[in-house]
Amino acid sequence: MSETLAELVRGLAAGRFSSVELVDACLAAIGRHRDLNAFITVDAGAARAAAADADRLRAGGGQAPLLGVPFAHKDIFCTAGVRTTCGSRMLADFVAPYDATVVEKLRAQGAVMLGKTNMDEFAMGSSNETSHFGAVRNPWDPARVPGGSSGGSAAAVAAGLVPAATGTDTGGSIRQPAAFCGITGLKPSYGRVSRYGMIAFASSLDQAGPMARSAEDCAYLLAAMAGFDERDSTSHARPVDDYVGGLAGDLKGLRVGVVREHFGAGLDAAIGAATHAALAELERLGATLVDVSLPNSAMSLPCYYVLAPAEASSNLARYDGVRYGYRARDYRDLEDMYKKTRGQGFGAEVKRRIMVGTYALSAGYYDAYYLKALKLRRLVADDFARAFAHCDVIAGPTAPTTAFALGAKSDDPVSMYMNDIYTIPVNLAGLPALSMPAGFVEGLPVGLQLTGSYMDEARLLRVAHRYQQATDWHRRLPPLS
Amino acid sequence: MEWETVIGLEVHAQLSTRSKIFSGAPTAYGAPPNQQANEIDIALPGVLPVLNREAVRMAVRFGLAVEAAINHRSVFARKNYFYPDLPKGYQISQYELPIVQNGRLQLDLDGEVCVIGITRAHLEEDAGKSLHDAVDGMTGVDLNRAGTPLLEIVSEPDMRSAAQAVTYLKALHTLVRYLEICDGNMQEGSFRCDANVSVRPRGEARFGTRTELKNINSFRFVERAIEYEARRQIAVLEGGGSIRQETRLYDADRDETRSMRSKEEANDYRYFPDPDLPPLILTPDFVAAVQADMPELPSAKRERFCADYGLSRYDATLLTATRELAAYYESVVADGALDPKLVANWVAGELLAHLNSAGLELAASRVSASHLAGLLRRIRDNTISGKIAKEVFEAMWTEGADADSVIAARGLTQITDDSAIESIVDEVMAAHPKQVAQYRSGEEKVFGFFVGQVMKASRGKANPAKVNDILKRKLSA
Amino acid sequence: MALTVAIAFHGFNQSPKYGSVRPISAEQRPAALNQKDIEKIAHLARLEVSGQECAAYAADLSRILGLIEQMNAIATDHVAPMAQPETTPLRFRDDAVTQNGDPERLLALAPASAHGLYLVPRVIE
Repeated sequence: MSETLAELVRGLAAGRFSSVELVDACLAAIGRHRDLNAFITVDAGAARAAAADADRLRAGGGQAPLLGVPFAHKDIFCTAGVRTTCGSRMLADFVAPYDATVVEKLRAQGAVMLGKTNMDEFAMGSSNETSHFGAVRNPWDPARVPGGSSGGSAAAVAAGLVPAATGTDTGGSIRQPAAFCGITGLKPSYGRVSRYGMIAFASSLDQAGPMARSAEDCAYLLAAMAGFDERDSTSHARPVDDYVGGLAGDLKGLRVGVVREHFGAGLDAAIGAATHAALAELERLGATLVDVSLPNSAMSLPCYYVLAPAEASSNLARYDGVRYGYRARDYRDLEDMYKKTRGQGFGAEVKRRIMVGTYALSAGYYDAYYLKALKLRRLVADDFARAFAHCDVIAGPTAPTTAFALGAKSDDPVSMYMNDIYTIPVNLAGLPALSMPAGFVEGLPVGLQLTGSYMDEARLLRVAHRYQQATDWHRRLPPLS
Repeated sequence: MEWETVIGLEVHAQLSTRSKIFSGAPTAYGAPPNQQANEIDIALPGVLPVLNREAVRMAVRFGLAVEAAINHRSVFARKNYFYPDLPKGYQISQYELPIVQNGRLQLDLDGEVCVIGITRAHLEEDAGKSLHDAVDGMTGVDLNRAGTPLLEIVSEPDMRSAAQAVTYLKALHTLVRYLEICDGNMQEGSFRCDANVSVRPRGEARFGTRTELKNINSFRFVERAIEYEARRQIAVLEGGGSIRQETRLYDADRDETRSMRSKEEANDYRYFPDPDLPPLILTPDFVAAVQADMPELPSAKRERFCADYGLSRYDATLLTATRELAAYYESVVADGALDPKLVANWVAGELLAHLNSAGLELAASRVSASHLAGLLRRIRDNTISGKIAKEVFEAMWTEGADADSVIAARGLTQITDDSAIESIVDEVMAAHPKQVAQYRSGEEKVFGFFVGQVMKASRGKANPAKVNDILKRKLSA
Repeated sequence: MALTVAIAFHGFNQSPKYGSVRPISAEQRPAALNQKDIEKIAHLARLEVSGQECAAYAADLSRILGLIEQMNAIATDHVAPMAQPETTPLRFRDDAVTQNGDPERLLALAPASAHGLYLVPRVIE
């Protein structure tokens, strides 16, 4: 399926095809491309039934934009009755008795869930290789990773298995796979989308967001996902902007911040060139480029690799084999049960991060690691506040390289972490950012990251939409066999 | 060497909210296992905490009552450890920034006034319960209690004797019930106490090494556990040993404390701010609204009872022990426009004695305040004597009837008619000529004998004052 | 100096609460963890780690700590810590019983339960 979600919305409204036809086409594509391993669970029966319901509602005058539109959820969102694994052996058979707020909201709009997409275990990874259910392949080159942790969602959209999918982003987990797979993905402002029912990795950084072909698609999805939720104490009460209606408009007078530090060592030269070309295009469309600096952004990576593991070490303590989930078969006593359950239920990367976080919070190290990281987080956030005094959005590369080969970085966690160097500062500050296709290097997609000030999603989407009206990077399709 | 005991108490008061501190599950005690533990309480993946306003209001109420600072900003933190009754693997508590700090509670111990500092009081969630050997040698976990709001009240190490510690604990117990923030039920674990105990040579400024005593959930056990532990520590020190900082469990059956080594191992709680809960900011309006809603506190009520009713400190303390008892007392006084001291004697005497022996709460008393007032009015108007009144009270308690119907049904109305009493006195004197002679020869102590005989002959109904007067007159004639 | 480092570093069990062991300055802080350290951390996190894995984790964690210690390049003496994006104050819920889930359905998720209780190996206190 090569149409954008927005085109499907219009096609359904015009009666050019039915939801059942769309769902069947998606299910067929999913079947053809099983080798991508983009899905952990496909719920064909329920999807067909929901599509038929949607078609009936449409025939009865139903007009919700997403009514009957097929999509997939990252397997981190709890879905009542459909298992939610979070890419882990720990939850391989877990069926939540409730829906995440995001799941409820999309269902209320009539969107049809096809299944649950593959992901790095507990969203910890930048390559989707840490999944208990196996690695996902990049549709542009099956020998390469799709990025992570929302790698299944990104691959599914890029390969046309679904027009859109949800993702979550703690340090770049929507934007980096979007860049690697040549799609558009938005991480909203912290507090814009409810975290209720979304399995926590690092609670002060996690946000759910849309992944689709275009910014316009993301606007439709975000409109359905965003909003206040009384079940999430970090949810923001501010009314949701009209993202779809706000897409119109040009870039005249827009000040685009270009971050000096983004173009230093570590950035692939060809990606640097593609980024400059994209910036030139924005300029051509009426924007003004402004030089800005994020002097502490180099500290983001070490800071993040204290805070995210620290929170994760606590968030993942509930997986103890007592009330649900995996429990080891043989054990001597309670402590042995805990250790074997967690030792066997979690994969290596999750255990690494739990140990780093445990260490950073432990007696004698709290001040030097955890507290220090909290202070650096403030400096990183302050940098953004200063930069946004001079510009409206910040543009730069999403990732320092294009998709790398499967297995290339599995042996070196730190080089894997380097992938998120441009995306992590945004999570630390709680700001919105998107990645959109902005060219190719050796046949692989390159992403451009646009970062906005707090709750400025509508502007980000407008800028991206205008760019996508003038370019066709987001319309290119991978050469699938 | 003379030793001094130093005690600080940590009290966990379950707040009497309807729902849990971070979830909408009910808090009622005694439900079948795990029927009151919802997906948040059992920590399913993805669920999140939302703070109960009432728990915050109750904490502020307590803070204001102990003249503490109410922190404008306080922070919920996670205390991380693994235990089967702790579903999340962490307890949400407050660590560096508690909601209440630097309070004080004034105690009256045998007429001596002292002030115990309250270091802090913070909000946290209760854990579930582990039932050991519940099923086939396994431990069963009941999470009904998980997430019940707790206020942990930490005192300064200001107490110097077990008796003083118990007085503080009782005052706190009274206070939380006055404030209607905790039902104070120690059997059900609504009000729990741990004690930090150390000893030092008298005159020494530094504190000794302390031990923490757990599981002391009655006033009597608190006193005994502290006394035992102080004796143990002194014996260790006098024997040339040293005290190990540790947690010790009080065993009431053996009246001793013993080390809980299992709790000692690597307690590294890795506290950090809970990212699911932004800092708790209390506006001045919020605090002012709580202040405006404060009930009269036990100490103020006690002072008022002394001043307004002319009661002794002892009676005032007794009658203000609970808000309900004080209200009962005041209602009897007002209802009958009665002598406050008379009412105090009856409430603190007959009423409490009957409640205690029947094991009843005041709310279940078989003699209501208006019935008691009715009884005392009959004493005042001389319908019955004080002695008969006790008999009437007994009948009222048993039958649940009011005083007048008991008096009427049993014909207990006092004989106040002079001629009736005179004729009884005449009969008694006629029957005991020897004693009359003794009295008239100066043996005045037989007077009591005559009073007894007259009262007996009247079956207790003769007005005692009149019996006295008439006897005196006739015997001296 | 070397002795101080060793004591502070292996001082996990010496202090029941954080902050009581003196923070180690940048120059002193060791950048490498050994297998014993991994065993202690794994125990605290209740993770079974085999001897073989231990060595690998020691190497990985040491590299990650190397990354983390880059933080020391920036002085943060007067910076206020930021634990989360400061966007919304804590909201309250009304004290109402709104959700009691479906107790039987929740209990059915348990690997082991009986008589309404979650079962675990016997806990000795």
